[in-house]
Amino acid sequence: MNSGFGAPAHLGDTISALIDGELPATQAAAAHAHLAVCPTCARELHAVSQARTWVRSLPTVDPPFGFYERMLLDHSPVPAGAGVFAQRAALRRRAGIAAVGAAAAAVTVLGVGSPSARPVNPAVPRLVEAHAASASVGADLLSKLAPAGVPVSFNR
Amino acid sequence: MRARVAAAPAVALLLGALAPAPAPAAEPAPLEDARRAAERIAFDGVLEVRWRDGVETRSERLTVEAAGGALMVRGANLVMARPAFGRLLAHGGGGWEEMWLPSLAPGPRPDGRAKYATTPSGAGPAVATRPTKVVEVRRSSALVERIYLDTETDLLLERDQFDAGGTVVRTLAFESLTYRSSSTSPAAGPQSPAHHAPKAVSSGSSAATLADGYQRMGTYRSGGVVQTLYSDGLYDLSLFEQRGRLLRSDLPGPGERVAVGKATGWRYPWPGGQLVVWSAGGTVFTAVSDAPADQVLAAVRSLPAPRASEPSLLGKVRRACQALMEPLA
Repeated sequence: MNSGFGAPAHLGDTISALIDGELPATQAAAAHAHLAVCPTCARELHAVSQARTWVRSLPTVDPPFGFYERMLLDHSPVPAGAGVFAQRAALRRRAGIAAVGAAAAAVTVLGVGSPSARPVNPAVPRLVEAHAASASVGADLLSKLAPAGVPVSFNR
Repeated sequence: MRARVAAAPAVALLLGALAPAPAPAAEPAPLEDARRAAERIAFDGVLEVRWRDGVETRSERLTVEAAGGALMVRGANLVMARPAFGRLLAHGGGGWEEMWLPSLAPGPRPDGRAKYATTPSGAGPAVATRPTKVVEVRRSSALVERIYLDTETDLLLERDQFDAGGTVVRTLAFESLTYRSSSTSPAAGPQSPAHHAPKAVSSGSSAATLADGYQRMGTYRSGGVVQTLYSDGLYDLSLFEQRGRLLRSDLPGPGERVAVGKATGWRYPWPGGQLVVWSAGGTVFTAVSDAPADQVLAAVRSLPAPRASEPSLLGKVRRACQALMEPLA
């Protein structure tokens, strides 16, 4: 954070603190006063706010199937009495898991979390009805078509 | 789902002027006999549908009425099969929607006898007071289905589906049944149903076959949804594809988590079978089938990995970095 809020200096990192609401009231007031007269900081505040909104709007995504299970399996405690080499190996393994986790999270955010693909909500009841209609062609009607008389709902 | 036998409007079965087109089917012989019987005989009755939903067994009752090759099912939904493969549906008191057109006849079903063995196993217990003959459908000696046909008419009276452990997972059975002597029925059908039938399209890059002997019968499009219909001769499987990504919040409910290739999917039982939803390569897939769960999962897992239409990993990294750096530039 900058040492002061005089006109010649810019807010710098203070902008993030301001957006996050972490500044004391007096400093926040000073920052707002500076923003009112400094177009450079005002632009930066706008841009950082946009970036923050973009990052926070990324969807929650699932890790690869079995990721948690494998992580938990690999995270077994070091048995009491194990040698110093075993303990170091365990630490290295945990550090490796953490690194892999971080890398997976980064790849997930960059790859899967891209906002390019639009969300799709499959209309499951309609799809089931479409299936029953098509699958009943040339087949036993009671077996293939009658179940469509029951609306599909998964709200238990 | 609540059991509601709708107080159906006065909608009657339509006796089409057209004779039923030849069936594009090669179902196991007993089911083929049952299909012909349902199209030939006039009857009405109450049908119970029961299915396993996790640890719970659920059931619904439907009234059915058939005459002249047409069939009407009345539940919370009204479903109508017209002769020559027209299919209509109405949601609880709403208007009729045309779901399938006779012109969309899919290709022939594969010969189910290559995968399943059907063996008569003698007389069975009465179903809806009717005497039955039992046919068992087995795959590699494992019982898959037990079918109860009317001894006199061949109409399907009960059909039980078993899981790999021999437990009944789905049942369709008449509770009551009355044969009518005349095949004449009220001729008024829905006058102007909304047109929601898909259009037949080129199969494009859809897989011609899936694991467990499922073969493609046709590909259809309705709006942004492409449906590819597969069959193994006994069961059918529809694969629906929509461009986009799946949000957890858009899932239809708390299903069973399953792996489909590298993706995570969710499986749900429905009254007529199983469905699996997952997302991969910028496409949302929904598989709907009347096959047992293990077959559905094997089939969808055999799909070729979808070609990602998104940028390469390097492209994604570059794009993300640009987005992050832009505000600071």
